[in-house]
Amino acid sequence: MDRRAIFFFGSAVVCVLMSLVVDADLEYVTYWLAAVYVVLGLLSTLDAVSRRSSWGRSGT
Amino acid sequence: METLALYAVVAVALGFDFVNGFHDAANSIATVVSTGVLSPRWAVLWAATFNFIAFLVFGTTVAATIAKDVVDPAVLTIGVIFAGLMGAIIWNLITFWLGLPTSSSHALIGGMAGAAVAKTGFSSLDADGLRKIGAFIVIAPLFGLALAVVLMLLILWIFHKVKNVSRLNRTFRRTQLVSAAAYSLGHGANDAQKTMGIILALLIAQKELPATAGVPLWVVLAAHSAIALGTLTGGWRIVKTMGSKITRLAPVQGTAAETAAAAALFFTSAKGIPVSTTHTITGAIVGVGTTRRMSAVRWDVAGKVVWAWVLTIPLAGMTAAFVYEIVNVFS
Repeated sequence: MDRRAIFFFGSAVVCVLMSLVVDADLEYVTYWLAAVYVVLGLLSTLDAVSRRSSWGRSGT
Repeated sequence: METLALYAVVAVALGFDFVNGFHDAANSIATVVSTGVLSPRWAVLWAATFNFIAFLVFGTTVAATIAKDVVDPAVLTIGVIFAGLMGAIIWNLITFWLGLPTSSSHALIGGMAGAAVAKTGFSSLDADGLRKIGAFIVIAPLFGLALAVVLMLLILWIFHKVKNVSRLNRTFRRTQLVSAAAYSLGHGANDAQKTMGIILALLIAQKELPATAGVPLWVVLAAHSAIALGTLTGGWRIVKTMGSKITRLAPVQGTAAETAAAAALFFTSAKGIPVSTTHTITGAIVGVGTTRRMSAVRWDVAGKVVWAWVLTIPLAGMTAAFVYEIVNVFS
């Protein structure tokens, strides 16, 4: 799996964990951040997959 | 004698603010200097101006958090506050000498906590306040990082058809002036307020002000002046780490990193959360680095920075506790 995607998904997990610690009125910040990191992780995965497949096509 | 000691500790607090200015000046101007948008001299002047005028834009909610939510105000005495400040200043100077961009804010919080623990034990700490601050030690850099990545992706998407890259870079060299100003505004707002909080706590502890008092205007002006003067003196060791060692930055990336960090600082200042301006901009710089590729970020340097962060609170606290014991011997 793409290292960058792993970093983003890991960050999302940390944000969710932080929601357990922050005050209730600031929980939404951690959820929003987690959502942003999940989207970034998915985009990064798609980017890596498309790079790999285009590299494979040009290689054959 | 008490009054003299009070003014002496206020002077030390402003000294801390001054050190904070030259320690953290690098954060505001590292990207502007490393991308060649401004010469170092103009960059520090630019940053100092916006550090100072931050008092016109933001309130003093962060100051109140520092004054009342770190340590039980009943424990605070001139000796405790002096030891806390000295712990933070000594740690800041050590990391400044080592060229590590650690957080002055966390050094201050660690220092105050360490001195209070040395006086009355762990029961003097405000667990709720420290939990809130502790959570944002982790969240602030992630906030800056996420915003920086999103901003970079937006910029890349909007300008992906532009063929003339040098013209685009010229445009972003100008926008970087605005983003650096915004970041300096956020830095002035969040960091100067920490000193205000310490002075407020001191004035309340000495019964110069009632416990419910807000921050007096002279304290606001003095704190912003001290941080702006500190910024004017600059700190080039850390500029080097921030501006080029973590990842190399072009004007477009500098703009994205500073805008993201500024937005995170505006948000936390408005919510009264004392965060590390250093952590926030470092997260944002790492963020713009990851939009190129993971290897664009020098993870070994970033790792050293993280270790310095982790050690800041306990080591500043231990230093402050040691200073408190010395103060106790002589008082």
